[in-house]
Amino acid sequence: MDVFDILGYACWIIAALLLFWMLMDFMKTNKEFEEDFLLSSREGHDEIAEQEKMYAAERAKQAGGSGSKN
Amino acid sequence: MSEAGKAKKQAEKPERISLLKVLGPAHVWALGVGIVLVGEFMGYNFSIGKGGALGSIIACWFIGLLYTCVAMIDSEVTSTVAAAGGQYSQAKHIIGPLMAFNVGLYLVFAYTMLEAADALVVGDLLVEAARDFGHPDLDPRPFVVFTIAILAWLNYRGVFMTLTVNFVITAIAFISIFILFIGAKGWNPGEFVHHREILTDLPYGWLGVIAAFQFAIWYYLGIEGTCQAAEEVRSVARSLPLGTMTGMMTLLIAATVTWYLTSGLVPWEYLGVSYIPQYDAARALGNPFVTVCMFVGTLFSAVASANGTINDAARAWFSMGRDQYLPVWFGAVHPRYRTPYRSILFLVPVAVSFAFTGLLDQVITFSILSGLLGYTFMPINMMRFRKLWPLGTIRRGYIHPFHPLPAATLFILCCITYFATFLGYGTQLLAMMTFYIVASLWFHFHRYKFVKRGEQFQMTWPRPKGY
Repeated sequence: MDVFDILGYACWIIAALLLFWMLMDFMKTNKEFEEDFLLSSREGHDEIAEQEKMYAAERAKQAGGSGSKN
Repeated sequence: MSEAGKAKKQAEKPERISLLKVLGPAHVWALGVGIVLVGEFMGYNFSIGKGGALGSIIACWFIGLLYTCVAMIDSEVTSTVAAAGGQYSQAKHIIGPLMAFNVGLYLVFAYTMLEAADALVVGDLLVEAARDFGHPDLDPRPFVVFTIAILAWLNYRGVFMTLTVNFVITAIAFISIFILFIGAKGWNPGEFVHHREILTDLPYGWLGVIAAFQFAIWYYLGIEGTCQAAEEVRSVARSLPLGTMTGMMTLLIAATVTWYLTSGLVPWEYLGVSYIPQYDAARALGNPFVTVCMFVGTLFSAVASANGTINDAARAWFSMGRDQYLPVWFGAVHPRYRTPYRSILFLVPVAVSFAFTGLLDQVITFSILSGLLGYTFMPINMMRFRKLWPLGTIRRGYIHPFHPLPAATLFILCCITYFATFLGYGTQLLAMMTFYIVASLWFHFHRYKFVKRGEQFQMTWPRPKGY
């Protein structure tokens, strides 16, 4: 057995430990929290929504301005 | 946990959970370039096998034009859609559910196959290194599984660390290309790089150049993956276009330098069939330091690519789950790490299964074809986006110039690349088309009834023109 064989075994063991850790955490999380909460995320519209509101307000202002000129 | 404990835990937490907005332009660059850069270390060289060295560089620049159009179109649309899922989310908002479902599948398959291919490259590279050290029969499987497991773990634990690691290893891999340039004295043609002696005319004529388009995609495959970070970047309108466009510039430079060095160091007949061309070019140079650097560069680029693809495939799968295009169970976010943990974990055995087939060229071809289908959707998407929401009706972080020229160019180049793929992998192309048609039928007749029709649209866009 040389260093490459040892590396191979080490890789199997570490990979198994990491997968085991993820599985354990996965089960713990599913158990600890309500399903509705875990599934409550929405498209990240917060920042763009704010910008869009400002932009809409700007548009409305411009439309109002051009309307008064006419 | 008891009901009381659960209730206490629920009382302590906020009402709604979301992915974490922590990324900046450097992370977006690391995601895009990280996924792609492995193509500069292996894969691109099959285009040399198809069309000769000159054929490959012609294909490299034409495909570079294709991807520049992809990057420009993506940057404009994504700067308005702050949602994970990238092109899937774009299709959902702009075209419709069936297109969105298909685009989502293209993304998941393109990235998961690429992840499997990257893990295979890591295994093959270590087998090659072991052979150099007198160990000819190393089993690559533990290294393949280890690569996928550790990167999945990193992705599971949080996006910031995942993409920070990607930034570092991608930067090291990128620098290694320039170490080869310095080692080969690229500025002094004739000393180590011998284009004058080893470059030939087009060995298979212009048809060979067209055939080279299929593998020239490897120079850039995956840069569109930056869009998947849209829900996690701090400033979508600024970071995404900046990260994507600088990533594209980085890749154009890396692709050209890579071609220049390897085609000047190794004859095209050999380079066109090598599985690790950069490493082979360094070995041909005979400089041990450069050889080690190219080994590290190839390894890091494959790891960075696998890392980015896990991130992107999981986001696409997660988004489809969240909108119930797939079981809603996949749309969960980890309360502590704020990652789509179920999607990440679910895709691990899928990637390992593909990797264990060992069929690198088939896996790569499926990935390329899925990517190509995604690119063909983009010009249609762009034309419709500008028609339904003309300039001035919606705030864009970036407006791409010369519309509709980039969309038309992209569509024409996609058609040429389909033809190139048909020349080399006609059966796979038809098999894959059949797969997506069957999947579409399944979605239309079975899954569509579960889709959240109205609720899936969370963006506060104005009503489309004409509606």
